[in-house]
This record gives sequence, structure tokens and C-alpha cells, in this order.
Amino acid sequence: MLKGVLILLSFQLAGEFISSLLALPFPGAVIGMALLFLFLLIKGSTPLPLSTTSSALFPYIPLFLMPACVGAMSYWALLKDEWIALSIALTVSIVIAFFLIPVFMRGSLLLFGTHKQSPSMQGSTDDE
Amino acid sequence: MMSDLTSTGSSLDVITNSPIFGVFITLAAFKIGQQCYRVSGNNPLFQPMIVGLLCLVGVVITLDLSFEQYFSTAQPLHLMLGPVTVALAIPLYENFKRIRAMLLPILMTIVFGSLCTVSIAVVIAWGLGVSETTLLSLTTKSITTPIAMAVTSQIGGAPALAAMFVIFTGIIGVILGPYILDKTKVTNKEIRGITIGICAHAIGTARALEDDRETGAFSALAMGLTGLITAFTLPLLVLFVYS
Repeated sequence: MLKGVLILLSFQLAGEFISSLLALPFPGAVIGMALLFLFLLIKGSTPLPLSTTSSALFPYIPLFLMPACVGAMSYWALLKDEWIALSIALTVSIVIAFFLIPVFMRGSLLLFGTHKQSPSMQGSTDDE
Repeated sequence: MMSDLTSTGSSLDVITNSPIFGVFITLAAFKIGQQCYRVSGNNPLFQPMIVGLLCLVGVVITLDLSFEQYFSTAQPLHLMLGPVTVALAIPLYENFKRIRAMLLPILMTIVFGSLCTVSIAVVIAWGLGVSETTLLSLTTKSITTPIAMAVTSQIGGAPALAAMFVIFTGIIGVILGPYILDKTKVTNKEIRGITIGICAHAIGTARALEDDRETGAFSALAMGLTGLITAFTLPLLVLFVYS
């Protein structure tokens, strides 16, 4: 667990370093994710400490998001009377997207997928 | 009597001013949320984060704390988002073979999906008479909070508003999304993951990981790529529109 956290933190710090060095608009953690991904590709397997730590951390992502959410709620006041319009706009756009994106993706998988199985065979790819 | 009252008052202050108070109430609220979720039989409306948030806001308002005060003492939890984001590389790597085989359709879907959800939101908000700064802040609604705030300030929106829209989007997406996907019988894990990642970024990814690692991996991928693509193209697009 400790080893895994250490690895994750070092990749995040490396990401932060690169982000400020190259003045990138991405936060260090996102660059760290890309770096870790490359590292795993080169290494060819997930080291045990990393998989233990990530399995332990993932269930708590919503918990880690909560302080930022509470912080964001305090900005509602900035919206004055625009909040109804914005709630409608955001909600409608998400609902439409959840209908449209799967349809689009199914189509593009059929047309451009180099996947051997047909994407319409839903769930059948799960037992590899 | 008088001194008694003031002493209880100040000891309460000691608790609320303690540097661990934010962490304490957040953990407690999340725990209550988890219980409610279990009791409700995993009803999506009672997700631990949503119930927890309501409890938290209730506590913060009742105790008359400022949001800044709460946030500064809940900071340790917030900081964990960094290593967790880095760790998303792991499910991504584990599903890399399947991702590589369908990279082009995935990229196309992400570009189409984020364009479609953002333009619908902006058009509706514009139609309802929302101001320009707010409209600009809406354009980053589908990308994960830290990138959204950076990009928004670049294009002249308000980062604080952007953060709020991102989180609102994530919460609505996580309540309605899986329900719509179930109703429209989208069972393919790749499609579910990508759709959730585009629409509900980190909050959706957290929820998807709860279902299984595979859906979570695709959601994390979509979240990352949506952020990346938007961060690169949006500033150019805004420049183009305004020139």
C-alpha cells in the first residue's frame, strides 16, 4: 500500500514538474497519469503494489470529490437569476447526449472498428 | 452561568476550528451516504456522494461555517484526487489491447459527443438569455474540474462557474446516465464507459468503477481524452469565433 502510494505520488510530482516546465494547461496529475500509462506499457505488467493501492483507493473517489463539490455549490450565488436557465441547459444537454452518444459510437464501431467481433454482440466480449 | 455558556461556546469553536474538522464531517457524511445507499437497495438517487453532499451542506450551513473554512480543513481529502487520477492509468493500461483495436471509433465518438453536449447546452442557455461570461464558462462543462478551470480562464470565462458547471454536470450525469443507458438497453461495456466518461467525467468514472473495472477504464479513457481534446481545441475555437 505504502509503496503504491509512493509510486503514484512520484508520478504526480513528475507530472507537475513537466507541466510547469513546459507551461502546459494540464494539471500535474493528468500528465502523471499519462506518464504512468507509458511506464506500464514499457514495463508490460502492473506491479502488485500499484494494483493493491489502486483497488483500495478507487471506491473512495466520490469521497475525495466531495470537498470540491461543496466548494462549487457556494458559487450558485454568483449566478443570480441565471440558475434556472443553466440547470435546464445542463440537464437537457446531458440527457440528449446519453441517448445520442451510444448510437453514434455503435455506428462508428461498425464502420471503422478493426475489432474482429461485431459490436452488436453485446456483452459477449466480456469473457475473454 | 454566564462563564459556563461562553466556555461551551469556545469549546465548540475548538472543534469546528480544528484542522481535522472538515475531514471528520466529510467522512461522517460519506458514511451516512453509504448507509442510505445500502438501505435504499442501491437506488441511484441515494448515491453515497449525493446524500453525503446534502448532509455536508446542511452541517456547514447549520454551524454557520464559511465554505472557505470548511474547504481548508477538508483539504487532505481533496488532495487525494491527485494520486487517484494518476492511478486511473492502471485500468486504462489493463484494457489497452481492446482500446487500441477501436481507437478511431473512440476518438470520433469523443469529438462528436463533447461537441454535441456542449453545443446543446450553450444554445439552450443562450436562448434563455444567459450572459456571455457564463456561456463561455459553460463550454468546459464536460471536462474534468482542474482542466476546466485552466481552460476557462484562458478563454475569458469564470473558473469558479466552470467548476460548478462541471460538478453539476457530473452529478446529473451520474443520476440519470446509467438509468438512460439501462432503459435504451446499452449493455456493451465499452459504449457505456465511453458515454459516461464524456458526459460525467470524474464523478461518472468513479461510479463506473463501482460497477466494474472495465467500464471504469473506458470511462477514464473518455474523460482523459475529452479533457485533452477540449483543452487543445477550445481556445482556438473561441479565438476563431471572436476574430
